[in-house]
Amino acid sequence: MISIATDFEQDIWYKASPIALFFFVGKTIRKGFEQFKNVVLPNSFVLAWFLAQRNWLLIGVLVAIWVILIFSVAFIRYWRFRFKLASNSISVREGVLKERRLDLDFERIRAVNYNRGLVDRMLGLTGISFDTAGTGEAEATIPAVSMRFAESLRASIEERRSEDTKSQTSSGLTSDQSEGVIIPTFKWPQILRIGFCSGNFVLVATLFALVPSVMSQYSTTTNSSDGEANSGMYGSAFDWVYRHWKQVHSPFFSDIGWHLEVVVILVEVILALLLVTILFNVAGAIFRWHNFTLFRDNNSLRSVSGLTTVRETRITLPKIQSVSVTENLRSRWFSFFKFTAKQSHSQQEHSLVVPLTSSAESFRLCHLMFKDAVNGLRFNPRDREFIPISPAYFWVGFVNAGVIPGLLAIVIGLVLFKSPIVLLVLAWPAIVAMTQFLKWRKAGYMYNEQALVHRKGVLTYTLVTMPFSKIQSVSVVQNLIQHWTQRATLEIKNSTHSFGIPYLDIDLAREFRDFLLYTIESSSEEWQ
Amino acid sequence: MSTLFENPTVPLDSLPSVEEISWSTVESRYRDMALLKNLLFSLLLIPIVGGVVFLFFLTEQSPVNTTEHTVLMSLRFLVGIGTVVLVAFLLFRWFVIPFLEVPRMKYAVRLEDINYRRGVFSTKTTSAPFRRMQHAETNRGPLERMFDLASLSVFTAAGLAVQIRGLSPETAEALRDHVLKKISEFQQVDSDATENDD
Repeated sequence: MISIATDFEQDIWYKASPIALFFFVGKTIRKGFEQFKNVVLPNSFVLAWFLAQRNWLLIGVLVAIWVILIFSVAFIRYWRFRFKLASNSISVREGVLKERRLDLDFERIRAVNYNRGLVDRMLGLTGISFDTAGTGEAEATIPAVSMRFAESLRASIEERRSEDTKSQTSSGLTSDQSEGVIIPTFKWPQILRIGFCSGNFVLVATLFALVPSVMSQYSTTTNSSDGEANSGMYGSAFDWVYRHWKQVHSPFFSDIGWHLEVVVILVEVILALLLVTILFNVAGAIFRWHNFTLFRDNNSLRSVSGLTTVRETRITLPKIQSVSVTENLRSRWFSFFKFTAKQSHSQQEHSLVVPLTSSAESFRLCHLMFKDAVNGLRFNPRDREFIPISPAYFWVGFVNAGVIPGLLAIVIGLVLFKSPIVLLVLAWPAIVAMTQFLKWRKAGYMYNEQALVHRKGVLTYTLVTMPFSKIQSVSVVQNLIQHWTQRATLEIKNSTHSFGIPYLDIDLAREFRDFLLYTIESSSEEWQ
Repeated sequence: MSTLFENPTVPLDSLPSVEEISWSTVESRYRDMALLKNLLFSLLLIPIVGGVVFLFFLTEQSPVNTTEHTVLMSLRFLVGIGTVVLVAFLLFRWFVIPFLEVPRMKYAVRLEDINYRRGVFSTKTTSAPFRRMQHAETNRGPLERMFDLASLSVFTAAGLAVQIRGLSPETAEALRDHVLKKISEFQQVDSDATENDD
C-alpha cells in the first residue's frame, strides 16, 4: 500500500481549490473558441461591422454579456468538478450538462504532466494531467493543487509503476543510469525562428475574406461622387480610413486613378496581414516554447517549456515507437527540422516534440531512444544514401490521376460543348505530372539490420524512423501493374505510423518481409 | 571479455519464406454467402437506376433544333453511357468477382505468425506475428449464421491486423483459442525471463 503524503484524505470527493477558477475560465474560453471557431472566424466581418458602427453602448453590452456568460459557465464547471484519491487510483467527476466520470489506475498512468499558469506560479500551485495507455477519452486535469502534493502523487504513481514494470530495468535498456540536460535551453534567436516558421495562417485566411467586401465598398464610394457612400456596411468608418490613407500617401503620389489605388491598397493589406500573422506566430512560439529544455531522467525524456503556462512532457525511452523528422517550406529555408517522438497507442498518441533541431542532433536523440539500432542511418533527407523509388511509381500515379481523368474530361467536354475550349483541361495532367514527379523524387528509404527510415513529401521532406522491433504487422501488396512488372509494395504498420514502400522488386519485397518477421519472431524481448 | 549475446549473421536465403507455406482456402460456402449479400445489396440499385432513367429519358422533350435540345441529347448520351458502365461494373463486382475471389482467399498459420492473402487483380499478403497480438475475436452475423460460417479478427497495438472471413465456426474458434493461447504463452515466457533476470 502506497500512502500519499497529502493534503487530501482518501476516498472523499474533493472540490478543487478556489484558485482553480482561473483555470476553468481559461478552459471555458478555449472550449468555446474550439466549438465556435467555424462560426466566428468566417463571420468576422460581422464583428468588423460592429466595430465600424462605433456604437460603444452596443459593443459594451455585448462584451458584458460575453464576460458574464464565460464566468458563469466557468463557475459551474468549477462547482461540478470533484476528484477523489484511492490507494492506487484517482477519480475525476466533471461536466456542465453531461457528467463525466473518469477512473485512472496508477498502473495505467504513463506520465504525470504539470501545467502551471501565471497565477499558479505566483502561488506555488500547479495543475496536473495524466497520460494513459489506450483509451482516448482519458484526458483530465486537476487544477491548482500544491506543488508538494503533485510531487508526492507523481512519486507514488512512479513507484507503483516501477513495481509492475521491472522488466524494463532488467532488459538492459536502463543499464546506463544517466541524467542531465540533453538539449540546453533555447535562446531568443531559436524561438524567433520557430515562431517565424510555425504555420498558422487561419487568421490571414479569414481576414482575406474581408478584402473583397472592403474592395466592393471602396469602388462604390469612389464611384459615387455624392455623399451616398454612408449607406454601405462599413459606412463612415470606411470613409474615415480612406481619408487617412490618402493623407498618409500624399507625399508619395497624389492622384493615380482608382485602379492603381486598389492595387496599392491590396499589396499593403496583404503585407500587413503577413506581418500580423508572423507577429502572431512569433508571440505564440514565445508563449509555447519559452525556455524549452530537454532533460533525461534515467529511463525517460522530459521537456519543459512555456512562458505563462509551463508545460512538462515526459516520454519513456523504451516505449517510443517511432520518430519523425519534418520540415516545412519556411523551416527548410532556415534549414532546421522538427523532431517528434511518438509513444505507444494510436488513439491518443503521446508525443514529445523538439521544435527546432538539426539532422545531427536528430541522430543523437534517435540514438538515445533506439540505441545502436539506428547506427549508419542518416537523418538528413538530402543525403545521397537514400535509396530512390522506381520511376514506375511516377508513371502509374501520373496515368491514374492525370491522364485517364483528363481524357475522360476532354471526351465529356467535347460531347457537351463541342468547342476546343475543353482543351484547357490539359492543365490537369500537367499539374498531376508535376506533383507526382515531386512526390517520386522525395520518396525514398534507407535501412540497416535493425531499423528503417522512410522518406516522403511533396515540397518538403518527412522522415519516419521505425526500429524493426516495434513493427506490428507487415504486408506485401501487388496491384495489376505491379503483377506485370514483377514489383510490389511493402506495407509496414506499427502502433503510431503505417507506410508503404512502393514498387520494390517483388523478390526484394518478399525477402524484406521474411527478414522483418524473422527479426520480430526470433527476439525474446517483450514489446512495449 | 565474453560477449554479452550472440549475434551471428543471418543468411538471407535460408530465412523461412512466407511464399513457401502451404495455404488453406476459406470455405467455398462463403462465395454463396457473398453472392446472396450482394444480391440483397443490389436491390438498392433498382430505384437509383429507375430514377436516372425516369429523370433523363422519360421526361418531356424540348422542341427539336434548339440549343436546349442538343444539350439535353448530349447529356442523355453521357448519362446513358455512364449508367451502363457503372451498372456493368457493379454487376461484375458483385456477381462475378466472388467466383474468382473466394478460391484465392487463403490463410496459413505458422508457429510464429498468421498469414492471410486475398485479392484477384491486386493481391495483398499480410503477416502478423503472435508476439505482437493483443487479442482475437470471432464474429457471426445473421447471414454468416445462415451459411454456418464465422470470421476471425486479430488485433495488435496498431489495431485490426488480419480479418479472415468465411471460416467454419469450428475452425474460427479453434484458431481464436490458438491465438489466445499463444498470446498468453508469450506473456508467460516474457515474465519468466524477467523473473529469472532478477
